[in-house]
Amino acid sequence: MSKFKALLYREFIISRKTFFLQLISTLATMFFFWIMVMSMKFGNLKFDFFGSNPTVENISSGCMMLMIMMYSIGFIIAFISTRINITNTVTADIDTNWRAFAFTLPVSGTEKALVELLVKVLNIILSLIITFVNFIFLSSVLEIGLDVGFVFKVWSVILLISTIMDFFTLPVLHAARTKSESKFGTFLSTFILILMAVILIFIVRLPNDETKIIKLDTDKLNLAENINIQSGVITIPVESSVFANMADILDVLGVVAIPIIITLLIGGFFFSKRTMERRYD
Amino acid sequence: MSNTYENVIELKNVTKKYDGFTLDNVSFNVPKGSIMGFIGQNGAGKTTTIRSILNLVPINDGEIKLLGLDHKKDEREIKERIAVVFDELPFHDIFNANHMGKIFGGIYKNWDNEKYSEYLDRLQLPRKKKIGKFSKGMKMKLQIACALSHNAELLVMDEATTGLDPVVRNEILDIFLEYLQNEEHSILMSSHITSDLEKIADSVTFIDKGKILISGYKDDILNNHCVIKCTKNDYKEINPEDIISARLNDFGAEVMVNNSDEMKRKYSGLVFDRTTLEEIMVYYVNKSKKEWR
Repeated sequence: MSKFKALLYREFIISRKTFFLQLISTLATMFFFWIMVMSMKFGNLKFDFFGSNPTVENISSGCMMLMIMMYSIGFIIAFISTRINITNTVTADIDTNWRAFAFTLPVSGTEKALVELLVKVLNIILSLIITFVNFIFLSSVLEIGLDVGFVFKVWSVILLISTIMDFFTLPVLHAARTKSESKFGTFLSTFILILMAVILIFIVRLPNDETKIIKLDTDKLNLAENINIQSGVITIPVESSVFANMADILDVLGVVAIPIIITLLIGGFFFSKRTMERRYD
Repeated sequence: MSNTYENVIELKNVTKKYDGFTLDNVSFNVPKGSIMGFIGQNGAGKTTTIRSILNLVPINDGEIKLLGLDHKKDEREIKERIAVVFDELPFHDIFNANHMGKIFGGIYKNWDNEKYSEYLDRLQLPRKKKIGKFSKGMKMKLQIACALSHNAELLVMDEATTGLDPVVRNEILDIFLEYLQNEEHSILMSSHITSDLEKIADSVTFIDKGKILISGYKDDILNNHCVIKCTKNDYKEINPEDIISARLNDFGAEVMVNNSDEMKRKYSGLVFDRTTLEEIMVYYVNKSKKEWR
């Protein structure tokens, strides 16, 4: 077994229990939502989203509700899946004093940081797979067209939040020498998450140019022009000021998220490498 | 590729400063093929010295060589050829001996899996039991098995036998003596259990408050030092310059002296007792007081 594989093997053994628990809880949450959605669509909790006498207004409202349901569930699962992470190994190393011992081994900071980076990349790929499988299922059950580009944008923004959290938290954990110092790292991670959520909510709630009130306003729809009927399927474009701000944010962030994530991952690699090579004093 | 060297460890004027403590101009050598006992009381600077040797902490001044190589520039090569054993097992509780064998097998180029298996059998260590369920003695044995299974030329141990029962300590010391059968192998062992070092050490270095007080061959140190047991009146006759320190009691004094042969000639009427490393340590620690109880 090569040095790199040995370190990866070590990471796997330490974090496999927590990793599988996190994965199972993510999948369980996803399956719970799936069952709920299927019940509401076909099962005992069946809900008539378009009303007993479907009008254009009812259909529009119904589509809105279905979209909100699909994207809310999708974003929750996307976020949970990006948090299947490696901080467990870092905190375990503090508890066992492995870090000091590791300095006596013929292993460089580069090799250790590379293993950490590879695990992060694997987590990202896993999160992408889970997110898209979830959206594909919801889209087919709820019969809502799936905008792959939009989903990818949202997933990348969520991943960006997660990567920013790790970028600030992991070096703190690597530098920690005691349990209480490592707890500060965990607290920092939670703090950054809350801070970002507050910023996002604040931005989303900002009034945009078109409306001053954030509410569903079907009067704004130009229905006669935008209705499309093909093969018995009615396609109605739905706009709402609820999503207007978010759409603007996503348009910007969605473009820059991936480059920023790659930069943070590479920066995090060098940051971790430097912290891991730093001697105690 | 092995290079030639006479001393497996060389320290020259090594200084390391902390707030409230300084490792002050520490110098000593560990000859190849020998075992050096590094003794001192708690807080004397043993661990700081070992961490400096292993480049776990940066030094403020001085020079350190391991295996004839610079301890910083040739760090990677040195680490392939040495093994370190700490007082606490640094492996996660979730691992078992098999896991550790695979991990170290990938880390060390010269890992010998057969030797590792032999050590596990000899030390009666279960392969699939989690380390978290091992006793303290078993954990230390596992650490030593891992340390001795990659053909390391130097074994550095920092208080590795502390807290172990005499049976386990004896078992471990026997393994070290076998390890030293190979003349290319050397051991630096820090401990305050001086009885272990008296059994196996070739040389001893004694550190106190960051300074080296004695360094040399164990037998020479033991032969050169002795304790004079005398009355208070006889104690007054002893030249203070000959005294390292003296323990006074109600009946008389026990005086530690250096240069036993000369002292025996000089104070021929007095009783001279052989001493131990432990006693030497205690008397030297109290050297500044001169007289103590």
